[in-house]
Amino acid sequence: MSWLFLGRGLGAAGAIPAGDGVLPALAIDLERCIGCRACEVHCQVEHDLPASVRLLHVRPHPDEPSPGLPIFPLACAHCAEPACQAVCPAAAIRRRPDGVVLLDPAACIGCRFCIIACPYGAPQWDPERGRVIKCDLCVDRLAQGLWPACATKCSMKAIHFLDAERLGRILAESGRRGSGALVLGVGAAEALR
Amino acid sequence: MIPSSTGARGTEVSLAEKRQETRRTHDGVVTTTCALCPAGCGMRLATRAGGVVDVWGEAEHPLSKGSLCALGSAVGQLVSSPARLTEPRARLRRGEPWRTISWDEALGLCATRLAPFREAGRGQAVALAQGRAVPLGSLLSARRLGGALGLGSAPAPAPEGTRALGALASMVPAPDWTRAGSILLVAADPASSEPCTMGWIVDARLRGARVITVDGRRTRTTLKSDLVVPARPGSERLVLAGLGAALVRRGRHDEAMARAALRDAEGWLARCAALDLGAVSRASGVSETQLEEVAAALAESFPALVVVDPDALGGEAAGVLGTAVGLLALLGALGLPGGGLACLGGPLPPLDAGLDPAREPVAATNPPAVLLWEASCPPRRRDSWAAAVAERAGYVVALAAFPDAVTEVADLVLPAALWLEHGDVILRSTSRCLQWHRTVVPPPGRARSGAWIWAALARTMGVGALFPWLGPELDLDEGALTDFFLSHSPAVSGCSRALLDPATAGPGGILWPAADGEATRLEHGAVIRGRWRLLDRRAGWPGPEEPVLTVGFAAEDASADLAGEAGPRGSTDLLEEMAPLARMPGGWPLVGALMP
Repeated sequence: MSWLFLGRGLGAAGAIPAGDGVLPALAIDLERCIGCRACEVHCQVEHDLPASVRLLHVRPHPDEPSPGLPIFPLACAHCAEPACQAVCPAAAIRRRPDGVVLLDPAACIGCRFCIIACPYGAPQWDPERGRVIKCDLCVDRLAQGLWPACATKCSMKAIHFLDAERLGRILAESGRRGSGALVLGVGAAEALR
Repeated sequence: MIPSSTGARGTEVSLAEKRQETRRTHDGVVTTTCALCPAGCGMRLATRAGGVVDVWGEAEHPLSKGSLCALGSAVGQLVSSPARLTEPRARLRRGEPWRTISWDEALGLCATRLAPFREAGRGQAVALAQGRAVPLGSLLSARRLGGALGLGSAPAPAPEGTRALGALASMVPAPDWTRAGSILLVAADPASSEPCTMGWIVDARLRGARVITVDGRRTRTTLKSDLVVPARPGSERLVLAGLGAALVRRGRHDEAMARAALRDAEGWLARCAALDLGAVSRASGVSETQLEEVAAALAESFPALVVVDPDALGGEAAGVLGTAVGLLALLGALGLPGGGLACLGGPLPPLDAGLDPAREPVAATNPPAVLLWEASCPPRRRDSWAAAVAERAGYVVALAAFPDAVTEVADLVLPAALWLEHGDVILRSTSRCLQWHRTVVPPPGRARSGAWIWAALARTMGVGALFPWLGPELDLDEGALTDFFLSHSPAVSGCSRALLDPATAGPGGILWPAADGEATRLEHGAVIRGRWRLLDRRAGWPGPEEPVLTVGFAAEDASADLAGEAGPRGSTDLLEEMAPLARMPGGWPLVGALMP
């Protein structure tokens, strides 16, 4: 089984950094994902976004021949050391103590440096508002005890929002089987190349 | 607190759970069925001020288990689309500007155009045609009107072989696919055409089923397959026959089932034994080694399920379906839990408009003098054939919710309601499941349902007595209409609106054939015995030892020459292939296949 883990500063080797491990992360079961793009639509409906803005984007798998069929949902990895944050001249991007990386729309000056810097293509240009917008892991839903929209409504039940215990178990299992779990986090750009 | 770029204000993460519900301000939540594809998923919609504000999957629905694909999730955009046709409109001739008119004027115009063709022998110059996905009420109302007025009909050139055959009434519904040992998909790409049905294949695969695809295209489904057979388009039937030949050659076939189930078992076995795999390989582009490999995989991973997409196969569909039955008989996989034949889009149940058989609409002339066209709701690409008929027709009346190639050339456009704006029965279902869709929001402007338009036209033409469900105030009793048509069609006679409506019966629907009598007779001699029951996940599936419904042929029917009875609706070629099932002994246990 191959999984894609998005989030919370997971190390490239799959180690969960101390202190962050208690928080859940998005885990995508690539065996189940068929690339139907329901997650994209659910995200857009949840955030009232135009069709051109995809905070979560289904793309071809990196192992796919080019042009590949899109079956690889990729969203913000909420890196431990976000590249977008490092390049933002307006200090509009901040990482919350619980690991969610947020962009302050009032502070964003629309320079789009973060779009260039992010290895996952997470920040998106919102032409209607004239600024950058990015995945916030549906923090409003999380505060109400609900999973993020993409995970809740995935038509294949491929996207999960897992806590440290289950995440660790799956990581250990994937490692044992050597079945190509792809872990996104700091340094995971390597894995994508 | 750090603000979020999406406007979210959540401050801390609490113990999160997966729960589908709306967070938007709404007046009410309605449960209904999605009609966008034949998967037939349950959906819940939050509404406010006559509009859809949120949509999510119905967790209790037995066919979709809470899933909803990208299309279903975007229904709000479809309903509120600025492109919707909302007013009846007419024009003097093509190219002239449109004039918005009243319903009275529109129906009067239509009646005036039809009046000259009511004389005996002239009705064939009028073509009554409908899209592939119109609901039961619309479909049979049009057929009833056409029969009453003696008008002609122009059926879609879709694979007709997929309807009205008793054998196809035994096709395996999707929730049973998880019990298959191997799944052979023939030119079928459910991951694109009906994603939530693909969920059952993904489930089956994760339970250990081998997924094998016969498809010349590279699709999302082939990406989820264990084995891909890249057959040339058009050679699918040959590949299936080649697989049968490989089984027979290795002596791995189930001769007992082949002899019990197939009408011409000797001939089929002899054809398989004589088939040159080299020739199959040259014609299909599939190597002999791969044919042997796939045949072995199907025999080992028992039972096999064959999923066919007739739309992708076009004219080849009937032959492929027939050959698939032959292959399944050789594999010994007919009528077992998880084994058998399935058809994306499903077959239509045999339906009856409740008219004297002599008054059923006859084939229309081509090109027709007048074309009465009702588009699918929502529009389907497969309906594009109608545009070619419309181009050459003298006068075109189009019932449609959206502008399309037919409304482009139409003389009179009648605005139709979408399925979320009226109640009716969904007929096209991969799982052979009849489901009700409810009124969620009112239709925009003066749009009306197809069933209403046909009934109102009937009243204008003076045959309103045949449509008693249209009240004096032009209010349509959808329940009375549905119950009338369901009770007149033997394969679905046990159903009623009350048993289908998710508001009263819970999410799900009824598998057809459904009958509460002792036995139901289908076309071509097939007989159905048993009782129907609601497809309800909570109630659990009956086990194979609990007979619910059996499809088979009574002993007295076995001697009937079924091929000779090929009616105008059947394909003789298909009957030749499918009629083998006629030799099935009475009460052949297809229970597991029907109700897992």
